[in-house]
Amino acid sequence: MTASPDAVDTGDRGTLTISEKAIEKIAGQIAMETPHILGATGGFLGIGGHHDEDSRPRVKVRLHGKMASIEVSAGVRYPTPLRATTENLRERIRSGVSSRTGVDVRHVDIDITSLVGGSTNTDRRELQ
Amino acid sequence: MRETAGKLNRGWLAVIGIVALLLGVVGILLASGAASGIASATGTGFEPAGPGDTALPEDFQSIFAPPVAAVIVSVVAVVVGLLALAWLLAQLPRLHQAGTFRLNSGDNADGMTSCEPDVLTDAVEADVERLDGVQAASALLRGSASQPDLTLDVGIDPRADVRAIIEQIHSSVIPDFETAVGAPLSRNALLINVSNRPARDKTTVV
Repeated sequence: MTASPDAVDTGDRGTLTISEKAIEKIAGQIAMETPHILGATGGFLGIGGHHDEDSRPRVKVRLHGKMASIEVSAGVRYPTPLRATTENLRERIRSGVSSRTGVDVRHVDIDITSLVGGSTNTDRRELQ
Repeated sequence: MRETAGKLNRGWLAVIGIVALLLGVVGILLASGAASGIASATGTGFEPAGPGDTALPEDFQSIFAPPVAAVIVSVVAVVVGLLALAWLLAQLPRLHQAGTFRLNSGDNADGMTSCEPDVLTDAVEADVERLDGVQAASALLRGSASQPDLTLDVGIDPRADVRAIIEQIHSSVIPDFETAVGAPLSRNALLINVSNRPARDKTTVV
């Protein structure tokens, strides 16, 4: 088998650099797409914000070579089982980030910052 | 919802009571002269003071004559004072709220899941406040993630159906919490406060 004339040696192709920010956005997007996981939006200096499913949870990535540790701060829909929900999120982030970037995700620490029930507006009552 | 030092107080009051009781019995025996009879009957060889004698030996004050005695008395006084201060501070009512809940399903090698108790109590309070007739709710979480202990203080409307609210709390609020945490409550307490002012909602959903 002969090499194609267009083939370039892998050492001459150049490099691909992935920043922590890029991985944070990828992980945040995966978290946002995970069922029962909510991101924070709005507010000022952490005051007055609210959680919804259309926002990315806050993600912080620490890279160590080709390994990464990820910290996620997210809201969770209440009353879903927190252990199962966060374990699902952890597994999705681990596999998703690894498959998309090639970075080995070792740790995913998850901080549950809020639990949001079906209706967050307590001024309203449903008539039965 | 705050805890006081009941067990500590009972323990130390029992100790003080026993010491005072023993001192009182000794005083009565010495004052009545019965101590001498008991000492001679038991053959201890000890001659207790009689009713007409001084209770302490004549040279008792000489024990405090050496300079080191003042130091020892001072140290003992400081220790007793610190114990008294600690006991006084223990009287302050405390919440004894739970620490951060660790909600890991496996080992910690893949990462940790943490949740502050305030986050859980906020969710429980919102859940209770959605019930008909509830004006306000306050929750306090103690224990750990595997053995949570929930105390609920619920303020209700004077016209509310108390029985229905209690039933809903036990049939939906507490099971929801146990589902979320993944562990049954080791203990739960419910305090109902009936307000003297009926609630007025600005909006309703049909």
